[in-house]
Amino acid sequence: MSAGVTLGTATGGADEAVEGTLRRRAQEYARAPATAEAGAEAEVLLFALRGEHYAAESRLLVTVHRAAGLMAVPCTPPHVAGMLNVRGEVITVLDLAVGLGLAGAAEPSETSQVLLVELPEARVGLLVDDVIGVQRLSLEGLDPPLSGREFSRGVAGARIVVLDLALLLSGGRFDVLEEVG
Amino acid sequence: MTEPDPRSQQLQAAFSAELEERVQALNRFLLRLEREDAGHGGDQARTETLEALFREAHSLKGAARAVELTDVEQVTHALESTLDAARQSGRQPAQAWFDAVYGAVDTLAAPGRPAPAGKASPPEDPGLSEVLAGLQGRGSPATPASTPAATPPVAAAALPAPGGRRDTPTSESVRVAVVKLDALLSQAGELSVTRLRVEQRLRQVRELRQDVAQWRREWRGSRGLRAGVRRAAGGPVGTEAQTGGTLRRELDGLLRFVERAERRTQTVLDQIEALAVELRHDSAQLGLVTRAIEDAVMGVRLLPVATIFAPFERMVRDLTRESGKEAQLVLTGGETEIDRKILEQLRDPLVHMLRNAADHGIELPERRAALGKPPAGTIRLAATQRGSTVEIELTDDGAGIDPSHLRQSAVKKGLLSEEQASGLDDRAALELIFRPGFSTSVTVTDTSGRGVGMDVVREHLERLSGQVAVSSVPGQGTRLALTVPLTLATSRAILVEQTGQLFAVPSAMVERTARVQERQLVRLEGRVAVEIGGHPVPVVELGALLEHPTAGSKGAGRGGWRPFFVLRQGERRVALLADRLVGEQEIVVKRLSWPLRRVGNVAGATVLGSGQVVPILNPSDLLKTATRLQHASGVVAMTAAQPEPVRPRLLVVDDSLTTRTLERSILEAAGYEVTGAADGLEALAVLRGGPIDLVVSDVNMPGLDGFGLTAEIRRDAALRQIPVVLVTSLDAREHRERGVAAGADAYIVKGRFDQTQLLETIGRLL
Repeated sequence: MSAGVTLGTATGGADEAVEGTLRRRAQEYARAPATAEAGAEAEVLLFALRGEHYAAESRLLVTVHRAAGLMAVPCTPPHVAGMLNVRGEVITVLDLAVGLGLAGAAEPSETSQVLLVELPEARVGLLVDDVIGVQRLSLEGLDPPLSGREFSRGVAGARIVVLDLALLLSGGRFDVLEEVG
Repeated sequence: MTEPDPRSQQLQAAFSAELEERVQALNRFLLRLEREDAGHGGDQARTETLEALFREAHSLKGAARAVELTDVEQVTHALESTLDAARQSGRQPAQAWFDAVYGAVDTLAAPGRPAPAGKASPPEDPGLSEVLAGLQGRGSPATPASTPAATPPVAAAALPAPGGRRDTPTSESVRVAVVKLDALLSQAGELSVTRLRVEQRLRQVRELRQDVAQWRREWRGSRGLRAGVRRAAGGPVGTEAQTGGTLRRELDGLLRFVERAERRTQTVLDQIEALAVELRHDSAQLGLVTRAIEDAVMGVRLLPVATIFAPFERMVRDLTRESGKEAQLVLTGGETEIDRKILEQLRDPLVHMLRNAADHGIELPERRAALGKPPAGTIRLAATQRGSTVEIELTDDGAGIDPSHLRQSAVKKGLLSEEQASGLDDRAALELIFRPGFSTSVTVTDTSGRGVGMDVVREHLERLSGQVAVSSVPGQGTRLALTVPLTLATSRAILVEQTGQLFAVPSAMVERTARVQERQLVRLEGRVAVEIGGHPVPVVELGALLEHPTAGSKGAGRGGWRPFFVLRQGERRVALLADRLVGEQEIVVKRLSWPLRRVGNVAGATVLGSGQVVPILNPSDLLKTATRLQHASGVVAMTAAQPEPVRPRLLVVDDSLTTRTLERSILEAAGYEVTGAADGLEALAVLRGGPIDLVVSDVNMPGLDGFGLTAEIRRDAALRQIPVVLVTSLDAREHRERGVAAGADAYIVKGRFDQTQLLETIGRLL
């Protein structure tokens, strides 16, 4: 936890439990040899989407929040998971699996978490199926992404897709601008 | 130049205030610039300060031109030039330059100089001409050679008589920066949220009290058990001599402990009750204070709309003159007050709409004469307060908007296909003007063809939680109606439940709420409507508008009743059927956050006291969506066309005439047929005399009481199936149990007796 943003607690008790889980999983993953290589290491958050493993640099992440309380917004495309009250601020939550075009739409389950991302425009939440933990990962020598999409930085250890959140969330990819009439 | 008239006084008062502000700013920036010479700033800071100075001078010049104060205009123009030169030079100006510029600023500040009544000062005015000369002489200000000794006597010449200038404000008012008021408003909004949260806490404490009261009753219920234990242990324990033995002593200790614990439950209950009472008191007090603060903050921020309306008259006159037209602007309701922030954000939309009216609406005089209209057009701008909203209406008697022209234009611009366009009715076609990228002008002119369209107007208004509607009669004119909230702090909304989710609907747009039964609906061309005030109002399922799956919707209750609310915008009305109307409450409006730039039918979000996020629906969109659905298919509101149900007959039994009357009126309003009875025996007679669908009965009654009546009903094979609801002030478990034992279907405690609970219970049982 030397560099980058620390993952703070969001709203008390339940999140401490979340943090505990995060720490435990982080330790488990730290033991995994697959990705611990030399080179420019960065702190990443590992999370699960539709049974796949993804990683994002924790630089842009503010906190991890429970998905409980997520409120659907009617008349929005499927990539909008809903709105969430984060300390009085109403945040839009995007369904990352849908945004990445992964098949299936999981209902928010007990393990579902929302990653809060700080962008210049605003804060936005990303709904993921499960948060696995924080880990240091070399971002050099990644295998090229199978999708070839610019926001996929590459594949680490043959099973973790490293995402560039800033790129993913830029370019108006998720903008909703709907007219009625 | 202009004829003197009352509104020019208003303008000049506004100018005086602005002048004062700008002069203060000029002095402040000049001082900063001078200090930067002392080595603080650097080039960057100097340039920024010079730019700020330039902006102030430039704005003041514009304002002075508007009120035709040529001397102020000249001075500010000269200031502008010398500031620009200073900026270009990239060096710190010399002291002499500062003196000259201070001098010039002082002439602006001098009372009587830009006196509201005074027009251009004579050119021989020594102050003015010398100031100008002084400034011009220092066109290139960075002259390192110049020394303080070279200071021209400009400043001195311009100084008015001592004591005449730096008046301290004599009135009892204080000028406050708008940012401070904004901060205050935002804090007041937060306070409202806190108040809602405290109210929620109160509800939680009340629930806790219920739980603890129940717990207390359970403790009491164990007394018999304890007595039994005592008896089994061989008489009253406690005396060592009688009992002896460790087991006895321990049992004795345990029983004492249990008794203490029981007493403790009473203490806890008492404390919670005291807490609930005090919390209610505090919550009420907080509510009062919060409301008072909100009103006060709001009051401070309120300004009459005339403050932005006034310059419009001049603008319309100038615009129409330029294009060889004639038109007058008629202002009404200028005294209507509205939040300053909202007012400021209304200015641009109004300017744009007025330009449109003057440019495209009003025809040339010859054309008007040919049409039999008076040569001079009339544009009306009227403000009216309606509850917590202000409606601003802009009408003109010009050419109006031709819907067929809009359709063609939309197709030409690729916004709609031919079929889509021809499918739009005239009203929907008019709405096209609010589409982004849709400009209505046939010819682009320098006044209104500036790329700012009605879409921007609408965006502005929606940002203010407002609405804009258009109507037009080709050849006769156009009407634009803006609705904005009076204040930004809070607004009122109806909470509705649909498919298990809550939604807030701005109260200002809800005409009424009611409930309706299948058979009360009328069918017109296969479309469903409800009759309100002798007119058919189309009926649509809210769930259908919100693209909800129909499966989750509760649909009609067993009595076939569905609550609905009527949205109204101008002449457009629609009745939306929802699962449940929860109630009306105050909400703090929050905008949707990135990347939701605009969502159909959803205007924003609010956070309830419980922390729950609730989408705020956009009534204007809902109306449009509803109209589209109606036109497309005629959505059948209530599925499964049941055989026409008979109006359920209820029997209300209570010995109090008042209670009976109250209950009767509530139930009749809900569409039931109601018969009354004063006691159990009378009730039985009524029941045996004719079909009754449900009984609502009091418990305590002379003769046959509610329990007895229920038991009788259950014993009678002919009546056995009739649901019985007991309504009582007795909230005791024993009573509840007795009621259930007697066979009652529901037990409503009068303390919590409210319409919704009773109606819901009855709806469920029927």
